[in-house]
Amino acid sequence: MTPATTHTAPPAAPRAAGLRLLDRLASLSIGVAGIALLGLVVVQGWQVFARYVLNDSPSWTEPVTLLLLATAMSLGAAAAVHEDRHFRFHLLAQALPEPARRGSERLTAVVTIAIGGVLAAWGTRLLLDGIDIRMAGAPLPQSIAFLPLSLGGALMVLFALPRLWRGAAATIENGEA
Amino acid sequence: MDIALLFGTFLVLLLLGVPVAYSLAAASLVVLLSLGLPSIVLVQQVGAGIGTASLIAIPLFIFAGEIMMRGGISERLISLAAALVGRIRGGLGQVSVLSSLFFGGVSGSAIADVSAVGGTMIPQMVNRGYDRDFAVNVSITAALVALLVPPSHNLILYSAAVGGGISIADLFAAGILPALLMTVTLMFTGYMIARRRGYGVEPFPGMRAVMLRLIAALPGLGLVALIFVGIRAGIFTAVESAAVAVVYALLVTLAIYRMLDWKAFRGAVAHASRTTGVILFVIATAALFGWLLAYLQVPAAAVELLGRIADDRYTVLLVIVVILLLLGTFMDLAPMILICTPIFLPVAKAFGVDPLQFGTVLVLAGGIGLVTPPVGSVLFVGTAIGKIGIGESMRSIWPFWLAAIAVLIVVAVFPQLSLWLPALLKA
Amino acid sequence: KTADGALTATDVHVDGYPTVEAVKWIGDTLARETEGRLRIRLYHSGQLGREAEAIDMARFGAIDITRVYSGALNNAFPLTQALCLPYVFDSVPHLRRALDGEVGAAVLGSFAARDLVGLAIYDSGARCFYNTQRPLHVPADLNGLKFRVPGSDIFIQLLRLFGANPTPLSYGAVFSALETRLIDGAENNMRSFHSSRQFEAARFWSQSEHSYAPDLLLMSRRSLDSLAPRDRALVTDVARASVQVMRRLWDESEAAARKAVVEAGVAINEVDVAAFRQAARPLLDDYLNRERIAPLYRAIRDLA
Ligand code: NA
Ligand code: NA
Repeated sequence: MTPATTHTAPPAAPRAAGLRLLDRLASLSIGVAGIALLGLVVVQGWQVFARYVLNDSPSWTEPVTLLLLATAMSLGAAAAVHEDRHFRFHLLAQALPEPARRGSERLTAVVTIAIGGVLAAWGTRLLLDGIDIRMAGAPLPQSIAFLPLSLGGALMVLFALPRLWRGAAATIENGEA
Repeated sequence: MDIALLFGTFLVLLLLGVPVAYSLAAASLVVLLSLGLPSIVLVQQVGAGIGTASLIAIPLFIFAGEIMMRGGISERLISLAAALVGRIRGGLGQVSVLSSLFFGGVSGSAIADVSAVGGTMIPQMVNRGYDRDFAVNVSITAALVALLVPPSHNLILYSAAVGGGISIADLFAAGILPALLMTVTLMFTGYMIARRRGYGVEPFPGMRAVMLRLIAALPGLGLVALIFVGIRAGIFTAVESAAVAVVYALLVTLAIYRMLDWKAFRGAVAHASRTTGVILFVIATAALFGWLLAYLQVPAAAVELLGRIADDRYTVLLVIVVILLLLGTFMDLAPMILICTPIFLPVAKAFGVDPLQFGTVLVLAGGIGLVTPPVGSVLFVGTAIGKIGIGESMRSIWPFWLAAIAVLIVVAVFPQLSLWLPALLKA
Repeated sequence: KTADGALTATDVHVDGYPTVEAVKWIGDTLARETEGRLRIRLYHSGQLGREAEAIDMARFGAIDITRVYSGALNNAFPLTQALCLPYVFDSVPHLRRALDGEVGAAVLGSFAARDLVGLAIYDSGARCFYNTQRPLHVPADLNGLKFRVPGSDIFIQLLRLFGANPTPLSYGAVFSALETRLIDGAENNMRSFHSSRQFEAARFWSQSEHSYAPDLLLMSRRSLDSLAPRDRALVTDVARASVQVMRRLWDESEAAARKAVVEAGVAINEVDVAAFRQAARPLLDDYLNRERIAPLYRAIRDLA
């Protein structure tokens, strides 16, 4: 972890337009994940309120909660690819010479693209597979939670692509946006 | 063969610097393909991995912790605690362990515990000059206490895995003495480290100052009381309590302390989202990896090994403990309980081990795995909150590991620790 | 199939539970009849995950056989709704007559629409209410009580009709929710009431028998198709035969569970079934208007 101390992009190098676009996309992902997080508070809070004040336990809160949780995870995890925040052990890679370190970064990019690709492709397949079946307790498709998963997978691929040829993380200093 | 492929791929990728979550997923994908199973399992199990309601407590408690920290609640709580225990070296570490004992009794979950207690304590300990690694390590091992304090959902899970022959009330009683022993041992370990590192002591500020700090901290204490009483009295679930904590923390900091502006609020949301994404993704991919461990019947292979080396009660228990500790480095606690109980309990029973004692040993051994690499969700949550690398935590966590393992061995060797209280309460 | 040729089967119930034992019996019988060519590797206690995922894993061929509760199938396989509706069966003998005849055949056949083969229906007794507060005699007694419901629309609607406050909660969370008074009660069959230890927390069992929602044994269409034709017939025949094995185990263990619960001091009371049936009527009428459920319901009632 703590990538910012281990991979520092050349200090004042201007970021390419493509990377700036990805920066924006990562911020957007974090923003949506944040809204999902706030949604979790609202839904769980409403569940308590409805149970005591309205004496009614809404049955839609559980599926909606799980959808919001999947959204917060998928988009947060995708943005973490761009910001290189995922838990990793740098011990060995750090000891290696520069070309090997680039190789390690490329391997990470390849693995990330493979996993993101599987999440995107099969997530979409599972989403479509259950789209006509109604979920118990809420007027939503049974497979709706695969929507954020496949979206997150696609974003992981997108964020990992530049690292494939640059061989380095597109690390940015993360202001609390 | 497939077992070797699974662990081999994972370890190689991990050592080459591939993130833990992606190493777990890639090793699983390779084995799925090698077994001829559809890779759709990957997506399904990643989805299922976060499909458990109790996980929702994680992001919400992290979020509440962010608000408490930026909104001045934590600061006042810690300032009160420091006034009370400041004369002890590493006093805040002691506070961390004790809060785990009390809060663990509420949440029943080590992960919820480390998000709630660690989210508050770690940043404040750092602010007061404690090393980050100490702050993280004392808080994450303290979360082990929560595993055994009722209402431990892990003990309920164990009773389900046994097949219903064990009274849950008895199990809860069995866990109490081991939990207290763990509390004392960890507090002592924390004290010794604090002495060696020379963490400062704070002079007692006088009764007047304590009263003033108490008044300032009252709204924050109200939050702790709200969560504790709320769950105990069945007003809300642990997950709902996390949402209530967020709302309450927001109200206190907006209406009373007036410290949280719009920018700080957005910062809290963004930070909590980042942490949530990283933690939940590694938990979800660990669930996938665990699915394959179950599918490949790894624990059954371990028990075969056991049969070859052990032939008396203590050897059997100690070998089981070693196997559980090894499995625990890779597996999460809940799947370990579900998978290992039907395999190991019959063996243990055959050698005269009481199922109540076996339950406390299993939960403790598996729980220690939560704070060991390469797969340990409590370790992940703690290091993310403390903003340190896993390697950094590992360099100085070993005294806590030794302490926890010592407690585990004592609990395994002395059945009275687990069996005395249930028998007493029954009589 | 696993690498060494065994069929994989999953169940969320623990070892020793009648459905688990019935699938073990299938495996043993297959191994004997084929001299080990066909075997079953059984993952019980939810080792490979929950029922919702097991259904899809079987559909895509990741596992071969799975045992799931009919309530979890309601929305994807609408015919299963007829088996879950309140007060469609009068007794266990009535239930078994229906499952052994054309009703059971129709439900089992409906799984083909989504890449599954219905192997067998395991009846799992009458579901009744139990709670921490008081004996329930008429629906009005449920008024204001918080009851856990499984994630199934039929049960959510049913509890609303009875004036209770239905709280969707996972099965594993019920015990501590009863202990902390988050919920006042739940509903299930006697066997699960006992094996989940929920009787330690909920001391009043009311014999409402409001649903007989059974369990289903399903097989992946792909897995069955991959077998030689004679093996296919053997698997389906042995699975069908396992129903009798399961019923014998069920009856024995349900009686044992009831005895153990009574000995533990749980108060069991009879209810005014007619009043409950009356209160559930609007729900029944709603579902009976659905064109696929109505003929099945009539067939069930003809066997009463
Ligand atoms: Na571990
Ligand atoms: Na672990």
